[in-house]
Amino acid sequence: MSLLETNNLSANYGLFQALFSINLRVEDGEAVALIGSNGAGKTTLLKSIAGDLLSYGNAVSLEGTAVGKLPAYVRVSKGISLVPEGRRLFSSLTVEENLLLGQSSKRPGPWTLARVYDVFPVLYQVRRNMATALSGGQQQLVAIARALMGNPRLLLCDEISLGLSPVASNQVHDALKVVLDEGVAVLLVEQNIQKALKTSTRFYCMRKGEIVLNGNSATADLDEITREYFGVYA
Amino acid sequence: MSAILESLLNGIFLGALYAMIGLGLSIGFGVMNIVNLAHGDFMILAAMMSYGISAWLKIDAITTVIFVLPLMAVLGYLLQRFVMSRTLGSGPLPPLLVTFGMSIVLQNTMQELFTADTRVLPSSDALSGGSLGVGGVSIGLLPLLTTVVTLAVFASLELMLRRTSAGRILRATSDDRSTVRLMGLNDGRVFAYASALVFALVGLAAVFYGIRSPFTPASGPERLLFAFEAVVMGGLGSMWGTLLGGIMLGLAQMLGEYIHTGYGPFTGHVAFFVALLVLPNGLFGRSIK
Amino acid sequence: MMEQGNAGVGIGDKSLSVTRSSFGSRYLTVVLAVLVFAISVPWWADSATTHLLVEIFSLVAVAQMWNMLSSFGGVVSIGQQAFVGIGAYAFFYVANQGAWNPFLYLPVAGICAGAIAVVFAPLLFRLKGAHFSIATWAFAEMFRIGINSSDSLGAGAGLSFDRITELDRWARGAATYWLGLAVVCASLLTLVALLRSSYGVALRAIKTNEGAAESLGVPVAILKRAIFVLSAIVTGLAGGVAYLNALQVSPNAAFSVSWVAFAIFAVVIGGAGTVEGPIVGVLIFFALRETLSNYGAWYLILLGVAAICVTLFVPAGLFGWFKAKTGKGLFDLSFKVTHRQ
Repeated sequence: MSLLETNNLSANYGLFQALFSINLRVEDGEAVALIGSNGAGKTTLLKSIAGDLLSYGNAVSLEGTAVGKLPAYVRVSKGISLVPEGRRLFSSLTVEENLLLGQSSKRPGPWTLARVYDVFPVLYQVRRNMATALSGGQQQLVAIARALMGNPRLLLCDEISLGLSPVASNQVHDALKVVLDEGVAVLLVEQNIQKALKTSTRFYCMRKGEIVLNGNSATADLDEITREYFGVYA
Repeated sequence: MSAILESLLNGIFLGALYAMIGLGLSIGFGVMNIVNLAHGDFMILAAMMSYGISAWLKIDAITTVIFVLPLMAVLGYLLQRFVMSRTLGSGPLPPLLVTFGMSIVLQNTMQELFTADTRVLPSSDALSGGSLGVGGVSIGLLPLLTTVVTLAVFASLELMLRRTSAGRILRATSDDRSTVRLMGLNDGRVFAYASALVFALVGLAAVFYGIRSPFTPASGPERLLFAFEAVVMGGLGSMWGTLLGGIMLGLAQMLGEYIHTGYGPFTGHVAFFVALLVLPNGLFGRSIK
Repeated sequence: MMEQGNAGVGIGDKSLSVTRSSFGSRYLTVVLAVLVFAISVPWWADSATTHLLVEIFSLVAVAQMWNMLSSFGGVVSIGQQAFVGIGAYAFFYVANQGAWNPFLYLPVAGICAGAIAVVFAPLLFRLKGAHFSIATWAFAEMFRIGINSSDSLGAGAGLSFDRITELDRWARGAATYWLGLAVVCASLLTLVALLRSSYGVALRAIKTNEGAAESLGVPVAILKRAIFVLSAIVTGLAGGVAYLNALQVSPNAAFSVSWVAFAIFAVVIGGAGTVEGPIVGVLIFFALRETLSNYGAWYLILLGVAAICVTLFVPAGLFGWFKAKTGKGLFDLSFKVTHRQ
């Protein structure tokens, strides 16, 4: 049984259908990449898994249990944490306060404030700074750490390298490696195909709300991906 | 000279009362983005509660605080949970309309049930009539107590917001309600607790207001207006701004009364519009989105 | 019959044309008949009836202006009573001093209210949302208290329409009625004409998404202030007529928040965003008032509860719900944009 499974998951915004019968899975401790161009439905898919968008009961299952109808805040207590697009740190709070908020669901696990500071020492240095006064890369680390404080089984990452310099982007992906080493599964949305394939073991490619390709990241055929990514068959 | 000094002090004391009344409004808007147009009427309701309880248990109004605060808190929680939560997410109009409706319903129901008689909350003569003489200036005990309580409430709230996890959650919710959900918190429940806090504050203000001023079921709207002016002058989103804004309003009204009895509210309104002209975001406000 | 019109709103492209239709254009004879019937009322109805009708007309006018402001401009004012009072006082004051037929001075009500709106709009519009709304209330209160203390305007006792005695009873009642009819027609025409014009499209864009409208070149700030002033003018006229009907005006009545409260309830219960809705709402209001008049303030409580329930459960209002179900209405404000052949 997979850690996460979606079952013909569909989603729409009013009259506009954004997802068409998505079937994907993430195994325990795995890193899976979700790639696709803008508007392909990647963020919508993450939102549906995280609970920002509700679905039919068994459209989303966590370890066999149907969670589709549960609202986002309940899914956090079940072990699904989302690092949202744009980071969404709380601007009136310091770094440490943001982190503390991450453990509101009180899920037991290895990730405590001390642990987070251990793994991300730079955060310890800036812990008393206002969260949004940090650099983009540091803010992204705060966002990831904050989601980790919920001790998730599955971490959903939405475009975590967006807008970051190459150096910062590498820092963030290194942080992800640490997370994976700890046994947390990651479903990662990434526009940068190279980075996505490097960090993941498997990938799914989306276009116009559907999954058009999937496979192993190590043996991925870049030409095939490029074709399916854009939907251009020369 | 001492007359002017007394007027000044009375203006400050009056302002402290306005700040206490406005605090609930300020938090309601800051955390939940809701302006409750029935704020003043709920305060009168609390004052009526205090009146009834003090008559029934034969205690003075200050003691009724023990009952009024929890009762109001429960009312606030229920109202948010079952009524106001339904108005969120459909734009600015529904909360305004519903609270406006509640205002009319409250005023007229109170009038039908309790008549339009003027009432005042009972307190010991020592408190309402007593005064301290300090350097030739006479300071009323009640206004002094009100000011001290106001300062204590503001300070406690500040502490709560800065140092406790509940305070952290409230601050986070006022920043970004939907991300709070991603932290595993039920934002609807956070709002309900925030509403309970707001209503408890309204209850507290009601007691101090009702001892000082005779009130009728129709007194609510004018209190809302003053509270609102205090909040806006101080700057939206700033708690301490509300305190200063209240004091500014109190002073402006005292100035009016000094000129001619009854002119107080008018100079208050004028001061409000002048402040809007000069400081569009209030003293400490952030620009509203 | 369909009317052809060129909107050209922000679209310089003349290859598009906009078509609209209306009940009026389709059934012109019916509209004229209704109008003739309405004008004839003073000749066959008693004075109590015409008196009540003028009350209804003035509330409909105030309600339609509130409707225009909030549903089509996104401007929520709870200070419209300021203009009711300013209009009434201006009318009474000038008519009492004037030499001509007193009824001719009604336009002063609109002009005065409009002028004050122009002066205060920049100040009020510094605030947004609920804060703007409460500021409009403070604005009205300022006038109420100010006039209460002003002896030259009659202070708390107010003014009476002294020169009314110059006319006989029937003529007074009829003239008041016709002025009331004119005002309510003006309010309806203003609303319909505005909305069918390119400004109407722009206003609806503002209501839907202000930021997007602004980025398309819609002069949001100017339009909002313009309809604020326009609504003030018509509301002022309504105030003038309403208190002419009562033959006297006092500050606590004319500047009472009840004016805007009833207008809001009428619009909300009847159906905001439609022209027919507020009319339905006002009729319901008066029906309640007349039937429950012996029970004190209970009709107000009922009204408040109804407004709350409608807002929560039937947000489109009674007429809005009816229109959605049956697609029928008197005034068609919709339009189609097509490519010209």
